Amino acid sequence: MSVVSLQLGQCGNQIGQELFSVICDDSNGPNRKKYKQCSDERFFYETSTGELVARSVLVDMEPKVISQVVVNASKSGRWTYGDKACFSQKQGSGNNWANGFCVHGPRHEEAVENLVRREIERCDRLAGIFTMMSVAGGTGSGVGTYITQRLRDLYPNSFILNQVTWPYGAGEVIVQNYNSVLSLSHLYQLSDAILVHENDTVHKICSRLMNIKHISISDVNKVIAHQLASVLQPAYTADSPSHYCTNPIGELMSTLVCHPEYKLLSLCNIPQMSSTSLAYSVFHWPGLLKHLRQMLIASARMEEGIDWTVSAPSAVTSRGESATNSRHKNFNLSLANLLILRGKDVSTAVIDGFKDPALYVPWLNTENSFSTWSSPVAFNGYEKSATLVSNNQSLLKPLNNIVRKAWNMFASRAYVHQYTKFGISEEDFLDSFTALEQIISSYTHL
Amino acid sequence: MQREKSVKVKEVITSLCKLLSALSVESIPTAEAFRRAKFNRKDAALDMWSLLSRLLQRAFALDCACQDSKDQDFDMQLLFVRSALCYCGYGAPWVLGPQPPSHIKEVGSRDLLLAFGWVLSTGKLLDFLLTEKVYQLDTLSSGPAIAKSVIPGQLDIESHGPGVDTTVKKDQVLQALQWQYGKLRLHWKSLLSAQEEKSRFTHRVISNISTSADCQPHVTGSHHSNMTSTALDKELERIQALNGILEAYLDWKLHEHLFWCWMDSVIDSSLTDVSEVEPVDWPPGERAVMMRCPHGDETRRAVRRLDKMLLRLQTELRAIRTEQSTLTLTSQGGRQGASGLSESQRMEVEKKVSGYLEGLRLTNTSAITSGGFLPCLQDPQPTKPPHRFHTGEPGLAVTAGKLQASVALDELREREAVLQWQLERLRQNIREEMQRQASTMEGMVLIPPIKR
Repeated sequence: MSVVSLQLGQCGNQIGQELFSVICDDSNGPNRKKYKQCSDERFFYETSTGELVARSVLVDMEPKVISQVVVNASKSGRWTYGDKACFSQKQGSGNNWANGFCVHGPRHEEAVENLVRREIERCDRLAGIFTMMSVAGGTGSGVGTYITQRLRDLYPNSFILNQVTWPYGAGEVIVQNYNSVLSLSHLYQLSDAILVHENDTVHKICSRLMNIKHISISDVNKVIAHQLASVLQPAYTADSPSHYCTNPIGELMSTLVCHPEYKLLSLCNIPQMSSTSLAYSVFHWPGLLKHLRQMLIASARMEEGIDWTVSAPSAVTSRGESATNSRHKNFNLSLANLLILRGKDVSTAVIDGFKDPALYVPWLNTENSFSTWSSPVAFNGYEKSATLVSNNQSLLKPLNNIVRKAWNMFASRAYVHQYTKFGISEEDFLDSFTALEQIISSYTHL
Repeated sequence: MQREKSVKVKEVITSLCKLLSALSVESIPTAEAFRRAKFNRKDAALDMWSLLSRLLQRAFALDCACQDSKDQDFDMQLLFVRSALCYCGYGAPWVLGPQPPSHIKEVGSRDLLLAFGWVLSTGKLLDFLLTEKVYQLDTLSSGPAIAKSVIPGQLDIESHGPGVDTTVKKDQVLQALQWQYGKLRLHWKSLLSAQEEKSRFTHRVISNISTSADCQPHVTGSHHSNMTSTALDKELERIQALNGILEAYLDWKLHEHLFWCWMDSVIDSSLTDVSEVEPVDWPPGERAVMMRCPHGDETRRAVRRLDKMLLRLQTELRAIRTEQSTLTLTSQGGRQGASGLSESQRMEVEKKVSGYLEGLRLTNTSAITSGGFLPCLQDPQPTKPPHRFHTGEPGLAVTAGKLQASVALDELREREAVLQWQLERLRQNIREEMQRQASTMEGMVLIPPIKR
């Protein structure tokens, strides 16, 4: 019932802090006693003084970010991080995956494992391990992958959900594509599901939907935290319709990532708008769901700029055309979808649009592919909000871009010596490329 | 000494009986019955029969619909036991022979004991019974594994997770199956964590009950504790049963080798009583049971076939070679090319090659003769060759680290002969070399030493 989270690297730590803030703020809203109880049990534990402490372990190779994050957390007054839940070193990883994976990871594995074990033992029941990292840097990706590997060995029967942030396409770090390729190929084998956020998408949400003029990292992190919290906060599921689900991560996984080859999950959350416009907006479920469905089909990530020409193939094909031919070429085929509805009158929402078998792969019938969670509690100030967690082809394009760029660099062996000097050989690179090509191929031929 | 030994044997057999009863095998004979069976007493026969037939029924339960032995008449039971033993590879004359015993009573208890020993020695029976029992008792035993059958050579239907399929064109049914399997695994993980939580809570409840039970024996409280205690009692019983099995198994493992020593003595006593003529092509030092194994027969036949094939190939090769050499000699007239060798030279070469091969073979076959070895007295009976039951396949002639003295002597003599021949050849070479050198040097005459 409790989620132990692991914040890795700069990005992971910042997102984690925002996530706990959002969760705490949301739980402290009006009229939600049981919701708050469940959510507190899930993410925090109470000390003897009645203070809420996050069930979280913070790991970074630099002390700066962690100290800042801890200070921000205590500023809220409602929750803090554990005193001994942080692990940091003096020198960073230099944006080098090999440095994180081969040097820092093994060196500090015992210390980090002890921290995680303490958190896990504190839980009555472990719902799962939730890690947050970015794949572009050195610590989050390299150390994060190593720690995930160790945790997988130590807790083989626990669920591990990795939240990864993909970097801006235009590149913050020059070797980000190498780091991404190496992390993703390793994580795919180790974790149960990989929940992906792209900086590009979130940035667009911030600029277009939320009308933020000067977008800072904390704005981006707030949006990501909002989306994550909408998934992780308590909800009624199909298995537990009368009380809040006690196995959120397990249920999420058993509805979405049962097939070992398909583990990439994407998140869509609507509505997203600035708090000033929120006061003036009214939402209706049919409108929200219609938009969300079209976003799913057209692989749109935000509510603006949806391509309405894309449509699902009709059930009746004319003149013996095969279903694949009649499908629009940008149509996004899903393997499985999870719809989470939060807010007022949630029982009136009509979700049949998502049960259309044309949206899904033919070999899985709809009761296996589609599930719904709901919660009557309004989430984070939005009267009604809908989140779609989806295992589909929409991540193919960005993944392809990453792999292509990484391969172009690798073909000329640019910067490879930075990795080989720490012990990652060219064979390891090739293995990673092969693994990712395999993933791309599986998703393409869905 | 004898008294101590027999007491030890009784302990050992008792531990085996305890293990079998912990594994829910019914009607296990006492250690005394085993001892009587060794001496082929009539009264032990029935006990041994029931043990053997029950064990075999359990072992083959997965594969054939066996009826309960109580209702079966003895003929059916006899037929079942014989066919089961034959399938396991046991080839006693009463199992395989042309005149099978028509009635159960004709089979002596010692034969039954030997058959039981054979079945036990394969090792798979105990493993199978253990996994079956543990699967029953342990509520969340590891994964969806199917209990392996005891029949040797049968493919184990192991549960392996779905691997990464590299073919692009995928079977849709396979995909759906992989999905369902993954779902099942995820549900199982959820159940496991729920189980752990439950045990943690019950531990807390129990500790609270036990602390409060002394101070406040409330009526409602005890009722509640009764309710919880029945479930807990069942859990406790299960764990105690598992514990009992574990202890019995460990105890058995400690004493197992003594059991096999005792079985050796059973075999020896049966050998002294055996009056029938043993088959002629029976190599000495063969596997302990001294009866032919049908599998062994097959392998022997295969080996003979291979031998014949090899011989045929060798003669053909020789024929071709002689043809070639005569052809080259006749075609090239007097020219002695590299391919043409005279008869004596060829013999020389062949002998050299065979010598090298011999040397190689001897150094590689027996580490005992090439390395050092310690002579030791054979135990327990000095007159019979020592042999041990292995959990490996039957039919192996080499035993773990022991070699009979006569065999070792033969090997050493062969080796000596080869080495002597090599030594002689080397001496010859050196002599020729010296003579050649001496003849090249002017003014030097070599007088070879007088041959002794």
